[in-house]
Amino acid sequence: MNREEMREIVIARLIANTCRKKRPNSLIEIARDIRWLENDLGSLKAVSETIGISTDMLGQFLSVERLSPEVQNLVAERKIDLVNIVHYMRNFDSEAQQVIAREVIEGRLSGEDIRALAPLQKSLPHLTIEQLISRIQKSRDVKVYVAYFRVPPEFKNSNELKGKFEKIVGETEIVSFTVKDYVGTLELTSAGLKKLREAAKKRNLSLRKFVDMIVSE
Amino acid sequence: MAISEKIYDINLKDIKISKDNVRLTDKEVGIDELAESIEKHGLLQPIVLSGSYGSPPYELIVGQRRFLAHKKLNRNSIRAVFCGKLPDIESKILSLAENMHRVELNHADKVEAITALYLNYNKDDRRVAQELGLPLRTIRDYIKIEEQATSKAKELLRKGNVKKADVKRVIDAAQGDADKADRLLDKMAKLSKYEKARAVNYGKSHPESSDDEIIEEAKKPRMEFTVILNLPKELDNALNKAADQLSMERESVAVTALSEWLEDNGFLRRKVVG
Repeated sequence: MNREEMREIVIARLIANTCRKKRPNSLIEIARDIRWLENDLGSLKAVSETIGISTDMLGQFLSVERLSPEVQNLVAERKIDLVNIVHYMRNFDSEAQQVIAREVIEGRLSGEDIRALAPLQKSLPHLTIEQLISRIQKSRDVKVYVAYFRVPPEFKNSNELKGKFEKIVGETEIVSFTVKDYVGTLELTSAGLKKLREAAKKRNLSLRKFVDMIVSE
Repeated sequence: MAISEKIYDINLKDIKISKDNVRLTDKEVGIDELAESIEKHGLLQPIVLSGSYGSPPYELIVGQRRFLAHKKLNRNSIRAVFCGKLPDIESKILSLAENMHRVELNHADKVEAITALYLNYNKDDRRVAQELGLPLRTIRDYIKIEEQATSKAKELLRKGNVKKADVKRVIDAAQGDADKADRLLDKMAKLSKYEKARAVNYGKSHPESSDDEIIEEAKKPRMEFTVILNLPKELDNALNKAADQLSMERESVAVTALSEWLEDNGFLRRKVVG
């Protein structure tokens, strides 16, 4: 493949990866393509004009280069796949990046949370990264996701049913669980909802069918 | 204002700093690094002088730090262009427009220059934004701080010890009570972004509350409930389509559709706008 053909492929790949919601490639591969094209065209400005996104946005994609090798591996595996998260993580030291990465993968830290971490670290430099994360997590408004479901008339043991949900999402992610007049109410944290969705997806079921399956099992 | 294209080598002794140059503080910050860069790469941008070539002394409008770096390097001359004779306010605009788009200009200098323009244009903030090529919101933020912040807040800003965003927050939370604003400012930095947002909301809706009450309330997280609805497949697809076409979040489309239907059928009181 000559350079012109390679250029066309890289441009097409970058457009596909930067102008759509669903990206076929990981952020590591995108950053590599941006650098290849920058080298080929002579500047980031030329890349920006060619693929039609701002140099600021290109800079955000390139933030991945400033992550520790361990975190870069997680990005390559697409366990961390959001450009804003990578961008906000770049200024933390390697150790802090790894702690933040773990929380992101577990669904306990969002991009906005990471953005809020840096100024807090500056104001409270004596706190460890774990303590700062905990401050952020405890200070944000609690998002509770409520799912209603029918329970069969012969249903007797609500603790047993709650246990089934706990096995899937973890005890700490259930805010409350009640069954009254054949209607069950499950209140979950956002991490709990994420885990429930992932479990449903693994079984190729919609969230509703998955919840019904748990209730009827 | 037209800047000449021709670049001249001007003797440093023939240049004096204009009173309209907006950089009044931090003039020497980073001068060593700038001098080093000029020595290595040369001067990339000529400075801007008022008047025209041939009638020294010349007033320096833009490029004060480059001028000081040349002095530090014991250079005799500097590359410069001329912008003709300008009214004071235009000199200020030129100097500010150059500096506002870079980060180094001290907050106090920006505020002073923007306020001067604001008053000159009969408090027309849109015109100031237009002249400087800056977002209206940025101009309004600076003016709000200049008009409403306490002298303590301004002093801390000048020293770089507080953030502009925090000063704006305490102005909103204190609702005109200067002492409360100063006390809140001391406590605001130690709050997380989420707590700061709650402090502002609580302070605004409870103007009689003390600074301690505001901080206490700010530390209490709120519960936000989202009900998970089970949708038939075709409705789910339609929701995705609407979200894509309207560039909205799925949740926002669903809330809009649901609230409109409930309002139309009398189950939800219609919100009065305006």
